[in-house]
Amino acid sequence: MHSPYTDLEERAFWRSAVGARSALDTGDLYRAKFSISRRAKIATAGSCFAQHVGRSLRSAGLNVLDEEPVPGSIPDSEAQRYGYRLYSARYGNIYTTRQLLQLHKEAYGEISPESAVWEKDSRFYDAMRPSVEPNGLKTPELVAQHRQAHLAAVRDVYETADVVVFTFGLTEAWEHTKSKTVYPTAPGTIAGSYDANTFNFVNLDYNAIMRDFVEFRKRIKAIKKSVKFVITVSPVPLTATATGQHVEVATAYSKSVLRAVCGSLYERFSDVDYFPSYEIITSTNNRGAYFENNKRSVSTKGVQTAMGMFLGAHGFAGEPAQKSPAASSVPVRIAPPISAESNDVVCEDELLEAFSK
Amino acid sequence: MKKVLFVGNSHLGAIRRGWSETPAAWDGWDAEFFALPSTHFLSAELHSDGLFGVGHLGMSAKQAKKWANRINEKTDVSYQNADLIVHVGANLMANRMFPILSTYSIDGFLKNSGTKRMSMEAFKAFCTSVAQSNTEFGGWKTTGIPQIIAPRPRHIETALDELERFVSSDHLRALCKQSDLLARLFDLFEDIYIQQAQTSGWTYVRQPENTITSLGLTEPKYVSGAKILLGDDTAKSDFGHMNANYGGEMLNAIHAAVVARIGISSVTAA
Repeated sequence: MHSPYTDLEERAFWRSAVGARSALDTGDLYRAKFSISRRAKIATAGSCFAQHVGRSLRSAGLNVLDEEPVPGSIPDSEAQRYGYRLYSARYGNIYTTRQLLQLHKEAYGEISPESAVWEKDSRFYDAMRPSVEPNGLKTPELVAQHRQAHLAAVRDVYETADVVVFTFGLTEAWEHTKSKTVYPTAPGTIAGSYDANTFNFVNLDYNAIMRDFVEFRKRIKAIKKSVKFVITVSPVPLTATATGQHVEVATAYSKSVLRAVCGSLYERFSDVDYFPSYEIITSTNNRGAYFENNKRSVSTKGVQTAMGMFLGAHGFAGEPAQKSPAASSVPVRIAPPISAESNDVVCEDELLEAFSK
Repeated sequence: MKKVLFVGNSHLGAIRRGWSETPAAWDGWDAEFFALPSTHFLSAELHSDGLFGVGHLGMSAKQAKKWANRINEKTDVSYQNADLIVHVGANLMANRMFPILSTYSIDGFLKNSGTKRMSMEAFKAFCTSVAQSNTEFGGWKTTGIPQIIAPRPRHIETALDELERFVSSDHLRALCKQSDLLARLFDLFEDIYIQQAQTSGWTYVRQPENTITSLGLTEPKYVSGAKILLGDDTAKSDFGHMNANYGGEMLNAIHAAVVARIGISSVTAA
């Protein structure tokens, strides 16, 4: 008797692949769909877990783009406080695919976000990346000028990248009701103020997220046909939900939708690979060992495990990091390896904690 | 008599030669000097017995001792009995900001040719972080003895002719040569060190204004006749080591700080 399961590898069966696996044994969860050259220019973006991804890739000496670089002599903690050295440009966290697509459209002048400057204590913030200037800027005009300069750097990222690594973070977002502009944080969290007549909550569904990413991919491929994508789902649960559901239920929904989109993208496009950081971190096999005490933040060990698997699958594990070119006296566009001093991630949504009773 | 102990790197040469012309302000002070080449001075230590000198460990200790003996005829100097310690020749590290100055326009500070923008707040924060991580400052152990930091002199203005060696950006080179950009950069760093000094319990003495040109660099006349630590003339391409006149100016500035900021007003009162 022959069954379609007869010739499958052990990794296809729960009993051998998970049940018999010792705790913290990472198993064979990931096989790279395509190879990435050490010279490939990698762009990173996404929710705050993506900061870990970028940091790990840089530490492994990969060619992670940085279009808004600061010299290696600036400590990570200080650079990151101002949004530098987090991603390939200083866009801060991009939690949703809607925000990802919106940034692309804005970078090429197709849209102009509504309510793009928020105010707090007579200082002015870029509503699309409010955390990059922790104390805001002097005038709204200055914010607009900085944004235009930033958008030029964003275009450089799009036009240079060989590989785009994007971490899907959230389905929930706040948008400007009339224009549908989405923001990375709710108005009033870092700056600005919430007005129910101007802004509304949106919980993006599978179709919307799928549509946004497919559109984003199409636009990137129009610039450079050979670009490949590595997508992941952030294993970090929601800090808070505005759905009215229990936050754990809302997290399950959100991650499930994102995971489903990633699965579809993986099946549909040969140039899209899915890296299972979500599964590696949240596997029941780990018994929660890869989370910090708050059961939300991913521990250093968890990040090392997940990214170790990624690097290993691409043949980069154990290779020495390249010397930081940013320490030289000339401007560079490749991010320096990040020192061990700063493993904190910058998460705007953690500010929501401050609003919990 | 009071005793001032000068310790430092090769830039201590100018101070020592300035002292030999005995500035009047320092009447009643005895001076002792202890110098090491910059690389060895960086690893010098204050030992538990109150002796400051070359480290006892590490690959370079042997070399450092050799240099220390050659220059000072000893490897350590005692902090004890000193009423004042002056550390000479610390590098501001302002040049570490050149990659930023080459790349970014900085609000209210620099208009660059490229598109990249940086806020003044971020730039100041980065300058401060570089200053705070500067091991040539703040690494001094608290001894209960008043301590002064006297920075190494800025390069002389003719160094701008050699700027290609240090700055790859044509635009930045032009700005350095034609504007007060460097002056403002050095002033910004000095302000940071002064603030840092206030919280650390030491005193920072700026390079005297009358030795600085409008571009923010040292008047070329202060390099004329300069000698290195062991007495040889400095090389033609040496834009950083100054002469006895410069040493005299710096000694006057240090003495003014001793009186005004540390409060040692009169030798006879001691």
